[in-house]
Amino acid sequence: MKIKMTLGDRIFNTINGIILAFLCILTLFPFLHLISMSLSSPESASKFGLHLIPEGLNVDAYRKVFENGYIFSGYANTIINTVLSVILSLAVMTLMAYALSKKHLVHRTFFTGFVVFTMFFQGGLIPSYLLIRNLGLMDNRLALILPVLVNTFNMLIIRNYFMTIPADIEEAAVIDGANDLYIFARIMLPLSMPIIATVALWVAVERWNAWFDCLLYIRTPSKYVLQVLLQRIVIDGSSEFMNFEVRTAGTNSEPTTETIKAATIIVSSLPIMCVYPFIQKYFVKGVMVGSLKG
Amino acid sequence: MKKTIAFVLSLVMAGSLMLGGCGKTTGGSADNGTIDWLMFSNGPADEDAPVKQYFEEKFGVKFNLWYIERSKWDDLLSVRFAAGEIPDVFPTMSSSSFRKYIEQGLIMPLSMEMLEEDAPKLVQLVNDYDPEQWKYSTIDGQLYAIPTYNYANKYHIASVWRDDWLKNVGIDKIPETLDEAEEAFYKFRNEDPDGNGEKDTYGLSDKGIYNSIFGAFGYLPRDMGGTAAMWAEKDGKLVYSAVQPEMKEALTLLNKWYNDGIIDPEFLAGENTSGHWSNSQAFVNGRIGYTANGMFYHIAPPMTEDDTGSSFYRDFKKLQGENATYAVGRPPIGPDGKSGNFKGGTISSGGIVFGNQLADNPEKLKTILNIISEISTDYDLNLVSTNGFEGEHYDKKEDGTIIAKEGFQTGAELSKIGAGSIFNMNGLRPVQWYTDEHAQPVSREQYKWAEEVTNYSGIDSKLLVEVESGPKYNTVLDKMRETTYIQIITGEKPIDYFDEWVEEWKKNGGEQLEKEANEWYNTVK
Repeated sequence: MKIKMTLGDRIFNTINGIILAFLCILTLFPFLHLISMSLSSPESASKFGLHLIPEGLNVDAYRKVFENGYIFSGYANTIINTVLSVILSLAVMTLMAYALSKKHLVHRTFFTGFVVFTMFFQGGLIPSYLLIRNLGLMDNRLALILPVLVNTFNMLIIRNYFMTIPADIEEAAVIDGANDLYIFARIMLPLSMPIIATVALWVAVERWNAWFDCLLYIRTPSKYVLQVLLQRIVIDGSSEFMNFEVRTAGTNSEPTTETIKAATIIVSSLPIMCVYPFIQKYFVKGVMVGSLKG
Repeated sequence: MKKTIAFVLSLVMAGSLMLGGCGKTTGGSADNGTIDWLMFSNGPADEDAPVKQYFEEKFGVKFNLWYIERSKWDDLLSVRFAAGEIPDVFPTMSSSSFRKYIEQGLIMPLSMEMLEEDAPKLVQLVNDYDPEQWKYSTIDGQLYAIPTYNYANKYHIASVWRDDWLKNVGIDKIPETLDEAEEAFYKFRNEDPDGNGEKDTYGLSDKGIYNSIFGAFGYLPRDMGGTAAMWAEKDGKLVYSAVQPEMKEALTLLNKWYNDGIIDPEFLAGENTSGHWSNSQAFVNGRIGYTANGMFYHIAPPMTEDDTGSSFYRDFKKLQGENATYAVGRPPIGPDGKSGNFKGGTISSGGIVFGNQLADNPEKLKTILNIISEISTDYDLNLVSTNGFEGEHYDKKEDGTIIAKEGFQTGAELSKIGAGSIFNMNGLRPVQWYTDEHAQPVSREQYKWAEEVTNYSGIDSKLLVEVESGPKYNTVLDKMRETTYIQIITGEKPIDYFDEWVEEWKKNGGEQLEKEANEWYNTVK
């Protein structure tokens, strides 16, 4: 059925469209600025003002970023780290959340309190370091994944979502002969896709951007994650060493130029941004509509 | 039920606190052969780094090279310390961490007798710079570190003038006094020095003010970084520079300049909008005509045929055209004949320190001292430590210029092969190497130039340690100082507000700081 639009509606829609399109473009400006900076020559990048079109087009900044011998292993490590973290931590968190969402769980308040406790009180950096070291996980990629598998806050969010799913659905399944695992896998999970996608995205972004734990636990350069390498490229050259007489031609210490900084930002954030559109389809409302009648 | 939970929770909490507290101390490796070695570096060394292997063979030891990311140095290192991991030898980052390490018993006490016996060359090297240094590595009468000297910091920040602009407005010499500088600033603002027909140029911005103009009144209120306070000596006592009455005069003048539009209104955000701290985007973009932004090597023009000049120089030429020029002048001389640009200061409190576990292992300490001595005084070893091997990592030209090969140029690349600053202990080397045939031609020329242009009057902070109540008061005072100065310059507060600031400073711990600073000063005077 098509609703006839009046002239007023049309004008309103057009103006609305233009304003919104303009707003959309505005959000792209910082990216355009960065992309154009990363493609400009270092001199023109230190010019004042907004850079939207690259000047003195060159890709030296990217060459410099990719020249780093570890950049590809860095990418691989970050991707493995992110993917494994998302899968494992969702597995652990949903199972836990499901159990905690059940009112008939024995000592539920105790277990919930126990978990919530960790949200407010943590051992801190030094005990974590000792733990990892004494577990023999130093310089092991697992040290970046295992300690952060359960994020209490995320887990509680999933639990709360589970609790909003009417118990009647489950009861119906039980009558049809489903056991707990079957209900979890076939009913609860599919119904909870929006929250799972959301949490998956949070975990992925958090893991993608993480770098401090890598600095702390990882010693071998080939195991470094991308962010650590990129941070180093930016710092290299912008920090000076006391009395470090540079014994090379060209002599003068070359501060990391703005172009390289821009290129590293693009290199590090583009891949994770590409993930967003694929997750968006799960952010649909109304999956519950019609699942329960009467 | 609730009570049980509370009980269990408190048990868990107590338990976790205990767990956190009982990290067992393992220390560096016990055996003599492996040295836990930590130095500032731009990246980690490879396991089989050639320079590392070379020194291992040379000295018959094994190195366990630590790498600590410099931007998170204190955080990362304190975790390792708390876990009982202490390198055998490492540098101190600041005077406050030096004091902290001593208080926590992490580093071992040294004695002059022992150093003179085990590392005479090293003692000589330190004395050649300045024997005074030992005092600053001594806390409460006990020596804890081998001092490291910052040679380049004996020169002050350069006063950089647009000399082409000066000519355009009819001034044919570089201003020397504050009055002459003021005249030039007004002309820069009003007489269109860049000839583009628009009134878009200013005299100066924040670095010119804070690193140079204040100095014409005898004091600099804050250090180069823009946060820490400066301390000066007055009648044999240390004083907090930013509360001296001369600063009120300086602020009066700056307020007038601000009202007349001489100061770039964007000075609040700073003329260095991004990148290395010595960049001045306002200057290279032709917005201001005077700055005091960097050391001589940051602003150096090409010194030899091979030299491309500093990146400041290249940026400036690219953006302002080949005909644009700048020249280095002297710090402007104020009404009472005072002058001075910021100077970092050559002596720092702290230096190279040794993990406390070595106290029980004098042989190992001896080995390490020997390694440091040899690398800092033997030119060939020193060159290996910074640049690797000739033919493999660099080529040498006839005049001695070293040309690093592709892949061994940046700090991180050099660190990979174990070179860079990993074995080059904080730049420890004989003082004459900076200027004699051991120096690189370009570097030698730069130091000659520095002697000419940036060796007039530098103002450095006379307080070289963090006093005991520093952490308690400084944060608040620093913030108050910065706000007050800006408010007075921009006219948001009247000039007399300065007196109020002095009162506030006294009330908020200023007097206590001054007392402690002088207690310390008496111990080194």
